[in-house]
Amino acid sequence: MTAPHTLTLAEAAALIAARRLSPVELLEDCLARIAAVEPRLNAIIALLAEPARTAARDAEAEIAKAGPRSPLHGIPVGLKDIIDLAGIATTCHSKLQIDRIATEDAAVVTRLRAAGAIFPAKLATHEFAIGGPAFDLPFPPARNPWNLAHHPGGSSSGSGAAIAARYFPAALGTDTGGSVRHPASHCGIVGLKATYGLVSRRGVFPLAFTLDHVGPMTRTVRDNAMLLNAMAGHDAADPGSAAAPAEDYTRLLNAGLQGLRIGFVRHFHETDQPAIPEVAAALEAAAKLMVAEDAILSNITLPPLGEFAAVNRTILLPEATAIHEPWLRDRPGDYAAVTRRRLLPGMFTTGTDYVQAQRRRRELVALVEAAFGEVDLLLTASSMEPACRIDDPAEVERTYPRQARTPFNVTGHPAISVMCGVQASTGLPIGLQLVAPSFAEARLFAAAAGYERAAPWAAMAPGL
Amino acid sequence: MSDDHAIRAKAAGLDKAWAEHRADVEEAIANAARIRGGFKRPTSPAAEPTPAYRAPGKGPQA
Repeated sequence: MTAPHTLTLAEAAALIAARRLSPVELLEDCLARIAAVEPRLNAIIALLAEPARTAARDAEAEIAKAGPRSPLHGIPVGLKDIIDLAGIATTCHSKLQIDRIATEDAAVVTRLRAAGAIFPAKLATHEFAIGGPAFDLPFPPARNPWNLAHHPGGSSSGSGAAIAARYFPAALGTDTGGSVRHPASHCGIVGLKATYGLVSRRGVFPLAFTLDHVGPMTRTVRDNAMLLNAMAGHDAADPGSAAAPAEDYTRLLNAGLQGLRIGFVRHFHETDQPAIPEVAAALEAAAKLMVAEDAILSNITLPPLGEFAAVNRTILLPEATAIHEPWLRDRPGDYAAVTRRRLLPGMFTTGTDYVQAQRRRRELVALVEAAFGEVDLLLTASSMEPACRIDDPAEVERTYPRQARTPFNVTGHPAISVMCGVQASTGLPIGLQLVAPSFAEARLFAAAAGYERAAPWAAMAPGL
Repeated sequence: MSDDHAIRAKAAGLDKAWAEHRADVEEAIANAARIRGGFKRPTSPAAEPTPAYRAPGKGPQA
C-alpha cells in the first residue's frame, strides 16, 4: 500500500471506511514523516503526539464497532497556532502569548472534533498572523518544502509547509489579507478563504475582526471541500457568523468547467502589480486550459489592486492595534521587529480614515458584485512571483504586497488558490486564484477541481 | 519633523516605543500617511460604512 502519510484526505477516509487502514497506522506514519523532515522545515510549534495517539486509538475502536462518524474520522488535521485547542498553549508564535493555555476549543475545532478529526500539531505562523518570516521569535520560521532556502508564504506558513511536505492531509489556516492563499500558492497546495462568516472565528486569536477568515488547506480540491463540509456552519456566539444553511460542498466536484463564464482580471497582474513573465505565462496557460475544458472566458475590469490594498490596510491595522495597543505601549520590544513595524501604523490611522475605508469598502463590494452579474467566477493571479529567499528581508518586504488576494478579504467573497505552474530556476510553485459570488463555494470547487483534473500539477510533490 | 512625531507618538501612548524603537515609530507615521491617500473617498454624503450598525433584537414586537 502507498505510505499512509502520502494519502490525500479522501483516499485515507475511503481506506479507513473500508477497514483497510486504521487511524493508528495513519497517525504513526505521519509522525514518522514529521520526525524525518521537521528538523529542516520548522513547520511545527507543538507536536501533540501522545494526545493524538490516544485519539487515534479511540477512533480505531469506535470505527471498528460502529463505522466512521464522518470522512474526517481518524484523519490528522494540523492547526495554525492562533487557533485554540483546549489544554494546549495558543502561542501565536509570540513571546507575548507563549504561556497562554486555551481553556476551550475554538468553535471550528469543536466541529472537527465532533466529526472525528485528530489534532497532532500546532503549526508555525507569522507572529499574530502578521509578523514574519522572522528570526527573532521564540520559534524559528517555517521554510518552503519545495526549496528550503525560501519562505513558504504566510501567515499560515506552517500549515502550508506541513501539507506540502506530507506531514498530514489537512490543516487549518487563517486569512485576513490572503494568509491561507499565500502559503497555498507558494507551497503548491489548495487553500480556500470561504465567504466571510461561513466558518466561525470564535476561539481564533483575532487579527482584524471584519476581515478575518478561517480556511481549509489541503493537497487537493476534493479534500478541501470535504474539510469545509466539517468546518462550516452558523455559530450564534460569533457576531460575524452567517446564518447560512449547511450544504454539501463536494456535490459539484465532478461538474467541471463546462459552460462556466470566467472573468479574467488581467489588469491585476499586467498593469497594477506586474507579474514576472513566468507567472504571467502560467496564468495565460491556465486560462487557455480552462477554455479547452469548455469554460467561457472574458476580460473583467475591477478597481486597481492598490486601492483594495489601501482599504484593507486602513481597516486591518486599526482593528489589529485595538487588540495590540496595550502591548505596543508597554512591551514593544517583545514583538519581532517586523511585527512591530507592521502593526505600528495602525496607531496613527485616524478614526476618520477608518470610517472612510469602510465606506469605500461598501462601494468596492458593489463593484465586484456587479462583475458577478456578467460572469460566474473570476480568475486572477495569486502572487506576482514565487516565494523569495527567507533570509532576504528586503525582498520579503518588496514581494509580500505584490499579490491579488486582499481584494476578496475586503469584499468577503470566497476565493481559492490552486497550483498552476513551477518556476524553472527555483523549482517553486506558482498559484492562481478563482473567486466566486458569496456562498457559491460549491461552484468554486467545481471549477477548481475541473482545472486540477485537466492540469498536471496535482501529481507533483516537493523532493524532500 | 521629529518634534512633531514625538508629540504624535506621545499622544498615541507610545512613549516607550519612541524611546526604544524610534525608527519604527517614524516609519509607522509615514506609512499611515501613505496608506491614507491610497483609496477614493466616497462622494455621496449618504454612503454608509460597512458593516451597517444594526440594533440588537429581532425587530418590533407585535
